[in-house]
Amino acid sequence: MEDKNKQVGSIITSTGMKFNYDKNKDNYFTNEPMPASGVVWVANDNNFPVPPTTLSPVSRRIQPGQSANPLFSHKNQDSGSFFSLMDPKILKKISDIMQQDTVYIRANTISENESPPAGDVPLKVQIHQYPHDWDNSVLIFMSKSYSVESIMKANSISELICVIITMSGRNIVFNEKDYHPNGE
Amino acid sequence: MKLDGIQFDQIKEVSNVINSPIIYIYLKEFVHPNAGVLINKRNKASNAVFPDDYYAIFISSEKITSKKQLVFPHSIKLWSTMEMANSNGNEKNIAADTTAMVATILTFLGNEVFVNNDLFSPSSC
Repeated sequence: MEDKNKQVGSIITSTGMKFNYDKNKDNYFTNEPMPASGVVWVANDNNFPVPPTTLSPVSRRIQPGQSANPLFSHKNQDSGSFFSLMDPKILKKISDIMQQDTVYIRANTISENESPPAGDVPLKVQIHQYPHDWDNSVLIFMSKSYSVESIMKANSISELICVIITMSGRNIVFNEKDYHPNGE
Repeated sequence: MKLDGIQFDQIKEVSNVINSPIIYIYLKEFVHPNAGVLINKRNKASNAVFPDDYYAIFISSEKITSKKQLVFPHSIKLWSTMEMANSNGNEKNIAADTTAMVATILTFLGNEVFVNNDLFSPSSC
């Protein structure tokens, strides 16, 4: 496809924020003030172990259990978020992933008898650019609970993402052949 | 797939929309058909009931001007929380986040994407 290698010039999020691509810095930036409200995609649940460097200014202003948008109160155990779309580094990662012919998706679950690695969650779905490049992946879904409902949500969101990316003419590799649930 | 007497190839239609230069995404709230019904009648102690509402994501290559157009061939239902909602939890944050993810992915796939963000505005669409 022609546009696969085209660097995206800008992206406007559904909150209306515009991020422009800076060729020199090879990254996305915005000059607009962070919205005081809007649909929140960021990790506003401060219990989630996101390194402080990946938290956006919006998420830093949010107190635990509080949402930037009163309509959205992220109190449950699941999130369908990218962490975080406010972060230009994440946008750049997504851009890099989508410019390839193949997109790797990893659905990481552990059995009920296992514990997730320290600081990790038991159920998450990630997309990444290269095989085994899990450390450089983008989180698209995570759950702190290991329940049938959470697994169904993970499946549903994974399928949706797979359909969209496949229909664009790219290949999907879902859970690589030598994938291990614990990421070893 | 057959809906209301209209036969269509869902994969083909989704492909057509995704391959169009402009994509409109609509996130809508609907009344759940089983609202308030116990999910597992054998386990009434859990008091788990279907939620009042469910959320669905529609895509279209044309701007939708009426809620009546949230059906094929005007638009295609891509995803909804109804199929996976067997909990009594509120799924609106998952739906909103998933819409944002879909919009972002489509944008980076090279499409121009417009998202209807008036989920809670009954007067719109």
